[in-house]
Amino acid sequence: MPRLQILAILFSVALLWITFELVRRKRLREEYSLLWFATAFGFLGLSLAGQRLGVLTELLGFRLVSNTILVFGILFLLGVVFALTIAVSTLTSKMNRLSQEVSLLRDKMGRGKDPGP
Amino acid sequence: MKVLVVVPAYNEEKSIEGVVRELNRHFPEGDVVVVNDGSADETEKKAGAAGAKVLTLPFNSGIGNAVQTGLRYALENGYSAAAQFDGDGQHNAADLHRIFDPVLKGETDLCIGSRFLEDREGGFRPNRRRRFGIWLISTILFLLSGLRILDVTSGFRAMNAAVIRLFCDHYPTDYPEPEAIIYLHKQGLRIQEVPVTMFERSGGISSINTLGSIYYMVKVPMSILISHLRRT
Repeated sequence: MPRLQILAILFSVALLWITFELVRRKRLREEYSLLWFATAFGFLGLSLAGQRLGVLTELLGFRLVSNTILVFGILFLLGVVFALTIAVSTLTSKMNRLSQEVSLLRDKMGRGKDPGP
Repeated sequence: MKVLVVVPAYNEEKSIEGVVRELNRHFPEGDVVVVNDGSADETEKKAGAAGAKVLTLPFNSGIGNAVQTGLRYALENGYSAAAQFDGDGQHNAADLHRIFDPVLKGETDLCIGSRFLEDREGGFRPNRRRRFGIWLISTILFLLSGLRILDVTSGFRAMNAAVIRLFCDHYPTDYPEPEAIIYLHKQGLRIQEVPVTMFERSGGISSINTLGSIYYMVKVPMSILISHLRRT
């Protein structure tokens, strides 16, 4: 097995393991972990493809097999980043809403505008 | 013994009034709190009109967060036991005693009202696809924990103060019911199932569709497995 393939497989497994551990330790929420699992599995699939990767490389018009892996890697990451950007946008909206609620609650409770240190 | 019924509700203006009235009729000894999960309709107003205490979340965040909000209310107000009762009219208020009794007697920590334990006349059972999904999850749960729970997705459950405290600390999001079982089991708590009747959804739309079903069948088994592998 060529060195590149071994490295790719190791990397995919490492990514899978890291994601799994982070979810297990509650550092990463399940809903966001699915993106990373998909990426890791996708990468693993590519690294195990072997000969078929060469065929795919020719089909896509790349010169080197490593280019194919790289491009797919970038596409996956793009997908993850995009999804996360959307998640961040949603969170920002929710956070703004919460801050509004807090200010209105503070008003109801008769406390001042200065939240202190 | 102060007992609380937590009613999570999202856009259930059609059924919430009936739900609250039934709860007051069949379970007057319990307090009712409706957790309005950022409904866009008249859920809050209707629940209040029927006489329930309403907690309104500023935006929709899912059943996990809504139930946890109700449980935090239970914790902060010193309730010794609480039950989840869905706001869509599927749960039967007359069965509340069935799930509360084992908990209040100290026989168990979590008591789940199950649609599948007895062949009860007039009870509503979900369609074939859902039943298969539930069976699959139940089997996975059994293989991992040895717990034989048939209605793993039933939200109709009663719990004591120990469980309330645990859920306030960590309650799964998305589809919390099966994962919560494994979580409690890992903490060494007792879980029991009793037969109850449920009704068909009286109003509103179910939150599970086809794409959701795929997400469900991937996410829930995964979550159960990870929950099983957690140390705490």
